[in-house]
Amino acid sequence: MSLFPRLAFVLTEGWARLGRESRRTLVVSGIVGAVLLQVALVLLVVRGLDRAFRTVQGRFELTIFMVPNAQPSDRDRVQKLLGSDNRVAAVRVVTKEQALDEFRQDPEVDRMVRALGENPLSDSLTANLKPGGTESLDDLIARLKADPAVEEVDSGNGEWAAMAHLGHSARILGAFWCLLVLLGAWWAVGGTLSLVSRTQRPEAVLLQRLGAPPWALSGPFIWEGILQGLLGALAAGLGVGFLGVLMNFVGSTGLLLELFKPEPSDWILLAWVLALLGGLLGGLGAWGATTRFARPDGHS
Amino acid sequence: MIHLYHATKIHASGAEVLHNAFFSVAKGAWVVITGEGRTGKSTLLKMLCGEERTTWGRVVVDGSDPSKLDAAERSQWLSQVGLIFPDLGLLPGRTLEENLLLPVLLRGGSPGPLRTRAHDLLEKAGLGGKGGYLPEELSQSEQRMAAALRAILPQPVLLLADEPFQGLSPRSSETLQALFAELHAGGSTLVVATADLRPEASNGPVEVVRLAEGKLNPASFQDRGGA
Repeated sequence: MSLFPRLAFVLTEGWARLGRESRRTLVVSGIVGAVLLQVALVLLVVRGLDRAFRTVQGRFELTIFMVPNAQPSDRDRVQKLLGSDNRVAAVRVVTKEQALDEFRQDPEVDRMVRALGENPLSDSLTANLKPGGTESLDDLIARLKADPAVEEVDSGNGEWAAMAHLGHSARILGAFWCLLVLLGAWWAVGGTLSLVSRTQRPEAVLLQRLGAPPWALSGPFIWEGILQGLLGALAAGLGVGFLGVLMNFVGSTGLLLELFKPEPSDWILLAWVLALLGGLLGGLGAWGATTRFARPDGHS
Repeated sequence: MIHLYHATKIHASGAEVLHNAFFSVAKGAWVVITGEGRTGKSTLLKMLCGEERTTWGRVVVDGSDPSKLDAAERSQWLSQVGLIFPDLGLLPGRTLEENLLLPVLLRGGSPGPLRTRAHDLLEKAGLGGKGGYLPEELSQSEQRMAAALRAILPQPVLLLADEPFQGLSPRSSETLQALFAELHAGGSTLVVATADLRPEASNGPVEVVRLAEGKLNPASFQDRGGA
């Protein structure tokens, strides 16, 4: 027997059962859908937090204040040190003259500087950091502080590291949450399909008595499970979309609304993830249930 | 084709339905096993198709014991065997035509060539035009006839039929008997178990065996429907 008729039988029979066993389809798709909706929300929260962290991280700056008698060669050396670090996106040099000009735009400050009769400011360098980096900046700060021409390094009082750790923790927690939810779902789908397989038993026995080989029994059932999982994934996707529309409708603002405004590539990724997880949950659950199919008397 | 050696079957209840039986069916034969109700005819047929095992002794069909085949071997073996059992009904939710073609589909075969024969058989059985009906839309008699047609459709090498006429109308019984004769003429081996020995079964090439008190004996003249 060739592969094509077997494949055709599995596909058509699995598809037909989807409609024939509409109650089962509804229950399994409902469980998978509810679980995947949670997973989708977790993924959106993690993705949204990631975006927020990247935005905040992009605004972090390291400010290096030079000693008052620093020479241009000192500035160049520090600038070179910063430029060679792969965490640094850009370096901007502000001479003490440029800084003074900026300060003097305030008439009050201008009066004070005139009274002082000299420029009290020093040269400084501002380093913008690359977004998405999670590494600690301690080593870079230590190297900068070791330079005799550097008076002070303002690193945002460790906020950079705190944000990096927060982002990292959010990812780990999200992954753990997803894993728990998926394991629970696998258990629930497998359990439901196992219960269902008991009602399937007379049919399975009859098919075996008619000469159905193992693939003809388990194949359509697994394909049916995959289709039910995909239907669940579709329901979860629609649920996420509905929540997004609902939030826009009620005019929610802030982070929650941001979660439902992912980039187009995120939506595509989410759709693939949901489809994959839905198919896997349904297929694996059904596969587990097929092991419980009864065999006719004398063949157990 | 079929051999029973010292075959004994004792049910879990302790009832002995077959005692040290020797029995052979030649290839191409048509054997009718008759006997009173609950004498073990069904058990004997289930042993022949491997659904029951002997307590002692051996059953050999086509050179092997069907009850000892693994799932794949059994599926392959059943592709040559037609089974008619009272508890082997039609599958609900599938049309009559789908039910008839199901054994072929289950083995990965193409139903195309058998579709015409399925229509012909349905016509002969008085079920023409009902190929699209679901089993629950048919009478019990029609369902039993359809289950028999399902076994006959692929023209099996061996047909094992347990009470195939039970519940059928007289006309359907005649039709089924004619289909059996057709199958036999085509070279198939038939083993039919029935408590109700039909007069036409005693004619022609049919060999009648009586099962009583766990023993298989050639049927007497009266058993064969004689005066």
